[in-house]
Amino acid sequence: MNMIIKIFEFFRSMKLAIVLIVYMVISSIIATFIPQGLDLSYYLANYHHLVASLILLFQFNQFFYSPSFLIPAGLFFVNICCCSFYRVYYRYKNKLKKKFGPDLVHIGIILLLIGGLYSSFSREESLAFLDKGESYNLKRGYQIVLKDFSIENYEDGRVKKWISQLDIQRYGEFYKESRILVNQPASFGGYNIYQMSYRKTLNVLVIDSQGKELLLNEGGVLPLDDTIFMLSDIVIDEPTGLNHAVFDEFVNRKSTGRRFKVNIGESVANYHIKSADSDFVSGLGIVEDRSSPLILIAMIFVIIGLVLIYSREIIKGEVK
Amino acid sequence: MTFSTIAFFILLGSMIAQIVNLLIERKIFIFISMVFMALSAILLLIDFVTRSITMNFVSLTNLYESLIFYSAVTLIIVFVYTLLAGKKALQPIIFGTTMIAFALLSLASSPIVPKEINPPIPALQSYWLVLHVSFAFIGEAFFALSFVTSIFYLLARDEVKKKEFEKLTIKSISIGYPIFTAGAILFGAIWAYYAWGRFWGWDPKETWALITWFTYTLFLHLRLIKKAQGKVAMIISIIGFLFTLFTFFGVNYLLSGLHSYT
Repeated sequence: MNMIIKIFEFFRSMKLAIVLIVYMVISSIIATFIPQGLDLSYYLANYHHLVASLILLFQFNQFFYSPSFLIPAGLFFVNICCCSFYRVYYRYKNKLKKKFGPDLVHIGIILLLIGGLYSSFSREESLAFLDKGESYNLKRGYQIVLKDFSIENYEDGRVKKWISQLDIQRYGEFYKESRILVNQPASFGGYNIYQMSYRKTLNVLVIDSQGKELLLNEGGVLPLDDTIFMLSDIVIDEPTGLNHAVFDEFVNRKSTGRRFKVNIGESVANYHIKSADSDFVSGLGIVEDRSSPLILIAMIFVIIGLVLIYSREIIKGEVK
Repeated sequence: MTFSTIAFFILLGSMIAQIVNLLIERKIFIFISMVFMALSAILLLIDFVTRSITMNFVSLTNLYESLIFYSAVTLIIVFVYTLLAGKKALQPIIFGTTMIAFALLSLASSPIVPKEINPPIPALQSYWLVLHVSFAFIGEAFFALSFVTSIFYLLARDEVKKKEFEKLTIKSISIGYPIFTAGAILFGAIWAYYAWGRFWGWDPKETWALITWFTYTLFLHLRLIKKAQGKVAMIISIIGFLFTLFTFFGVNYLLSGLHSYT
């Protein structure tokens, strides 16, 4: 019994909390100066071999997901749990004045850590690029269909809004309609859909010397002996307002640095440009994470707890 | 000449009045410095409001706007402290904190900080962002005060003065800490959730905000251990403020991440 109490006393101690906080501060500082999540060869090539070995040994290359961070974080969790349990039990046993602030903060942090852990195991995330009319299947019979995607610009040309208009269906039936923007995701059936990105698509129709039609997308090539012309962009010709295709020239697979802007009706090599269109597709972030309500509740606990602690200290002058 | 430039020169006047007062101790100079300080803060707030109206959004979306807001809040805090403390107000503390506000304003006025009014990009169009940034800077303005009091604690020889500086340090961190926690950590996480679908992503700015939060958490918990009170706690308070500065400036220039627009 004595041993159990000693272990409990160790885990609830303030000294342990302080040691863990100091460790997490120092190690996190180091980790922020080391690029995270890159290939091992990067560290071996860019650091002295001893430093690189230490980075890889202590997994500073992916620090926040490594035992070097997760074990102290786990101990910190145990420390807060023991401390909170002791505080509540001790006050109840000795019928002391009720000061709930620190308990609420500690419980909030415990819930945050549980939420974070649950999220790391259960969270599913994907990115889908959809053109107008395209759909994406989700679990439990859900399906999203992109009805429209538009971009609004400020007068100086910078992007003001990306707007995706979605139809959400379930088992083939209409479920709901959603308009999503950055910072305004759509929520349904445990899913959140975010406006995360966009991509320009290029479609250039060419006719070769034998009259055959070819459809080129970005990166598509037109060969001519040892030279190739690669489609890299479609831009609007300022005076005429017409689209023209932009090709980069490569000889023997090496870039010559030459770039050709070809209008519709003109030719590149032996190829005649029939049409050139560009469009934007919407990049939608699809997230299924059921830890969000728990994390939001945890945050409310922390805020109320902090207000209770420090308003009492400041208003009543209890600052020691 | 912009409102912030006028505020810069008026604050310079306030600092000169404070220096003169530190040398020859006349109440009139305290009064002048207070009036100038208030005037400077008002002008900065006018600049903040006019920019907000022009861009049709709360102007807290770039470095210049953040510096103006941070400087204004720091000045307001010093002003309120001076009013509340009355005759007990510690002049070196007022001077030191005004100097921080002046340094922030100098940086905002310098040519290296762009001052164009640009409406926000889509990721910044969120009122959670406004809460995140404003609360974080209000908290940090209190930490600026605690930074100055901690330095004077370490410099002081008189025990009575040391006690006063220590009390003021604890009080300013006790006010700043919950505001900073709400702003930098919690509201920031909620904004990230709405913008990118996750509360936390170990972005360098996020990590440094957490490092700063841990440092002030350490400070507040050290109060409960007698041996660690006093000098050790004051050093941690100083380190904490230096971390806020690194989070604000250093991360932008030395580390890459999602917060590059700040």
